[in-house]
Amino acid sequence: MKLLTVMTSSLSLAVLQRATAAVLILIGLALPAHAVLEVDINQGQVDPIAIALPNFGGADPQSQQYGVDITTIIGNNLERSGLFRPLPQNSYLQQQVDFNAQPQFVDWQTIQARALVTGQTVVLGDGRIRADFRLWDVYSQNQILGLQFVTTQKNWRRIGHLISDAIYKAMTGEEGYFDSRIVYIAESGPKDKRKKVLTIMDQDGFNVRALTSGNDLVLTPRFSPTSQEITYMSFAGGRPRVYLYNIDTRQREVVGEFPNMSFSPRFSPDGQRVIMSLQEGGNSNIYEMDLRSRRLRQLTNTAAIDTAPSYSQDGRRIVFESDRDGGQQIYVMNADGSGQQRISFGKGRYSTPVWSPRGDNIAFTRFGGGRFSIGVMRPDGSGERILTEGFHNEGPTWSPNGRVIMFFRESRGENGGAKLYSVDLTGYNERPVQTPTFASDPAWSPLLR
Amino acid sequence: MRINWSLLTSFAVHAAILLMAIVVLPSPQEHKIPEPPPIAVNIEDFQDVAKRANQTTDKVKKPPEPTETPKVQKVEKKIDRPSPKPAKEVKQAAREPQAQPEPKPEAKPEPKQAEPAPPDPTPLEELIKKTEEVAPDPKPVEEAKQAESKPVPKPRIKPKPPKKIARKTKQDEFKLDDIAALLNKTDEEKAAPSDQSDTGTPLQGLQNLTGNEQQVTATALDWLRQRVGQCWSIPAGARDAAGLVVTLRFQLDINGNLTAQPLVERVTNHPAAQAAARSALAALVQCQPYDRMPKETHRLWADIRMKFDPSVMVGLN
Repeated sequence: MKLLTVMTSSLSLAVLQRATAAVLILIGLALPAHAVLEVDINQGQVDPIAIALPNFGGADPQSQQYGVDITTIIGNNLERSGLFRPLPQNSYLQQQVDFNAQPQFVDWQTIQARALVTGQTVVLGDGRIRADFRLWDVYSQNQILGLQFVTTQKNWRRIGHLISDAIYKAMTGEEGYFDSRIVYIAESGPKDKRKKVLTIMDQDGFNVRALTSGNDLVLTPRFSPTSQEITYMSFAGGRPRVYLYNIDTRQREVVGEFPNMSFSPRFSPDGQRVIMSLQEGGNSNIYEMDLRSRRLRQLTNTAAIDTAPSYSQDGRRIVFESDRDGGQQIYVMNADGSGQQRISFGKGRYSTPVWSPRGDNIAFTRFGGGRFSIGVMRPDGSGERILTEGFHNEGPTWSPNGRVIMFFRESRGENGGAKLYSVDLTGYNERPVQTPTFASDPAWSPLLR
Repeated sequence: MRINWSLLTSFAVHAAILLMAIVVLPSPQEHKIPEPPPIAVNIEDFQDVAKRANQTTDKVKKPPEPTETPKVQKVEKKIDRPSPKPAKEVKQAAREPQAQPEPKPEAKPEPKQAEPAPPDPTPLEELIKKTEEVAPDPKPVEEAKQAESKPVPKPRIKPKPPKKIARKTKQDEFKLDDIAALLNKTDEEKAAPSDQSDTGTPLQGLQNLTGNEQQVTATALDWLRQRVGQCWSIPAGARDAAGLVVTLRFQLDINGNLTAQPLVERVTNHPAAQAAARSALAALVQCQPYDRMPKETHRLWADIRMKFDPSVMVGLN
């Protein structure tokens, strides 16, 4: 009480004024703000993002070379995606960019770059390579990302892919797809006597490697969700059967012993099951095999050819093709085989349906009017769009992020053959995929782990 | 005398709060600032900066330079799992495409043009030969590591509650003194008309409120929408994102220049939200000045809340 009395008596007029001011301020803060103009922006552009990619620096010639090569990989990846426009290096106002300093943003705004990537590479004492990079927002003048990767020299290309994926994700808001692989059928020899070899490569066409000898016909390779296994059909032993192949151990095993053909296999999203077609006389039905128990379960039972099954990304539904209503059409059903329902009703025949990893689309091949098209539709059959059309296009496979489709296109003539192409969901960004030989039946892996 | 502890505690706490208010809060008398109002001074400052920036085609008002470069987030992920080791010949063959010119992104290649020459079948033979030579990779799957789970440094654009948006144009000058001064000034202005009229009848203002001055005209708004829309490059991940909305709050000076970096008021929860917010911010900065906004109604468009909604772009992914 005494303290309070002392304090009260010492309050001067000025102090009281301060207190009054404090109260006024509090009241002022509580008052509503002045009018704000509300504006809605509902239109924008879908142009590729202009990005500046000066070469990653290095302290010695070897590091510098790695820097240039990694920058090239990143630039090629981003450009091929169709969502980025790497600006030509000769337009840069700064050729040498100090990785450890704040960029001169004005120089990058002048050439209208939205984003800037700076980096450096170092060959470490133990022979490994380290790459550091920063992604800058040129207009807000902020660092968006700063990451560091270390790997062995023979693995250096993956650094470029990982950095590409990081940039892609930061700028587009979607997962990337560059650190992934493609398995496909490499073809050579005359058209009527083609040698077909199961082959694997990075998604950008590098690090090509054959997985089979080419003595037996192989078809329809498909990746496991873990990326370490492939399932495919082979005519080894004279009878077409479904096989599993481990990329790391190079071991091969047959999936079940069946009296007739087994074909068109595909993994479930959890990698625990394989879904495939089994021949029954002139028909085929869809079966699912549990890879641990090896138990087989029949999912369709029609007097028709039911084949090309593909799981939805959550594993709860299956899309497949069937000619039960006459020509080939696309159907969906629950994972236990119930609720079978046709979803394709356009002109022509529909085949090879593949559910997108995003779950929002189903890619297919359509044949009509003497032309093969690759298209997409929603899982309920609505929103059908054709992305590419021509003499012979077939076998769509999705990129891990569900944004790009790879397929093969066959050219006419005696010397014609199959080549791989990719097209994004807009249909405007179609690119050939480089392979050393003719190539068909591509399957895109998930992102590597 | 029996001490009433609860009463004493109550007095003590109240006294402490009062004391803190007295000590911490400044006095408007001590800091009496002769106005020109601080807003006008600030705008002048920014225009100078903007003028200088325009000379170097830089339309952005630079934030204060950081004293040190932001550190690279050290997420040293080893990706030691080697890729399948290709044979040397194959690797060289595979490297060849690098030298080839990349096709243009926009051009949808005609099937004929896009058809590459028939490839040489010999590499396949080499591939097969090498298949037998390549040793199996004994490394277990677990060794493969990927950078996808890296913690990514948060962008500095953070949604801020509207409360933090100061009435003044520069948030860093948010001071209690200034607010007190503003309050004083407002009182003076309110009192002014009756002071000048002996009868107390309010004087007529300079502006005729015909309607146009009370709202920004539809033409001006359309122009603003179009202008920002032209600069807004919608990220791919937001193009099919129904429900993704980015709300920015910013202030414009009378020449249509941003007075500071726009604030991200709100972003709906979506994987592409950050990319969408960045693109919206870049659009606003890139497209200034908004110099076709009518100067006479500047007070009506000086403070803008802009909602970027890419849902209409559905189907363009």
